Amino acid sequence: MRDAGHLDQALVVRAQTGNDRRAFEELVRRHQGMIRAQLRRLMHGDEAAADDLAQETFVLAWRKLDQFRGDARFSTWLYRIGYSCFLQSRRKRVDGVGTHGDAVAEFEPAPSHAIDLRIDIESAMQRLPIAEQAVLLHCVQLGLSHEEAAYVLTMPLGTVKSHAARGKARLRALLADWQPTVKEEKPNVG
Amino acid sequence: MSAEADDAIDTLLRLSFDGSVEDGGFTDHVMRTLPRRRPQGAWFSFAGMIAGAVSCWLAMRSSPIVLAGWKNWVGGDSSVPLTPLLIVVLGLSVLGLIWAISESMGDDREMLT
Repeated sequence: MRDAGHLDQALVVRAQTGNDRRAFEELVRRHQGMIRAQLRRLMHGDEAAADDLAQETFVLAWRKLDQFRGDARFSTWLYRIGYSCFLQSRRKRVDGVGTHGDAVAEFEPAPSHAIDLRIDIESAMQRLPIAEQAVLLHCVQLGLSHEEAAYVLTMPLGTVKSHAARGKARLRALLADWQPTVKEEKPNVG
Repeated sequence: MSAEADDAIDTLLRLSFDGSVEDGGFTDHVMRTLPRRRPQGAWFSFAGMIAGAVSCWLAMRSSPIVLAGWKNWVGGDSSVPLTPLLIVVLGLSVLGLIWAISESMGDDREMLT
């Protein structure tokens, strides 16, 4: 991972100082997979919209490359731009709702009839407030540290930690009733 | 919540995550749409501003109306020559403001570090 970081740094320097499009192309190739995965999750599987945002992310990164100082990993910086693009697109869609609008996806206990085989971890995730979804995505699924997630999501570190704990507790409550089904489908998960 | 339960949730979340997306031509598409980088703007704009101000001063310094207006402005007297001078200053300020707003609209993500 350290080597990957060094390679990113070298490519960034080449792209910054020499205006080297090939170096930037290599950076895009190296990171597009995870940025697109991040945005597909945030867009709840809308692949076309997520890829549009991913493209916007890399165009912005190209334009703002001089502002990258190497304080964070390049991938973390890209996640931050990607999340910023996502928030901007969401603001256009949801007029008048705050940045981490918990009102968009308020937590409600699932009705018992809905807790059946059809419900999976993704739909349980979608029952969480947006901020908790974003924290769990970045901390657990994308594997960022709490500090990195705080940087990407522009949240205080304490808020990230509390969202992570609350999100997991809510997920556990939501999934508790149908855990045997999960075990049936995914026997390695315990 | 126990660490064991936390681990189980983490495992479930990781299992439900598809991971990195295949390129499938995405990189080539992005590279085709990249705009040309602007030349290093800060010193270029600053040099342009200085050059413009000096040229303006050289062109207008011999004009008596400008000198009279300037003296009245510094002295705090309102006069006929002062009015066009103030209009010019105001007009240039408005133009500068419009330029700054249009620049910021094309470059509207200030949160990036």
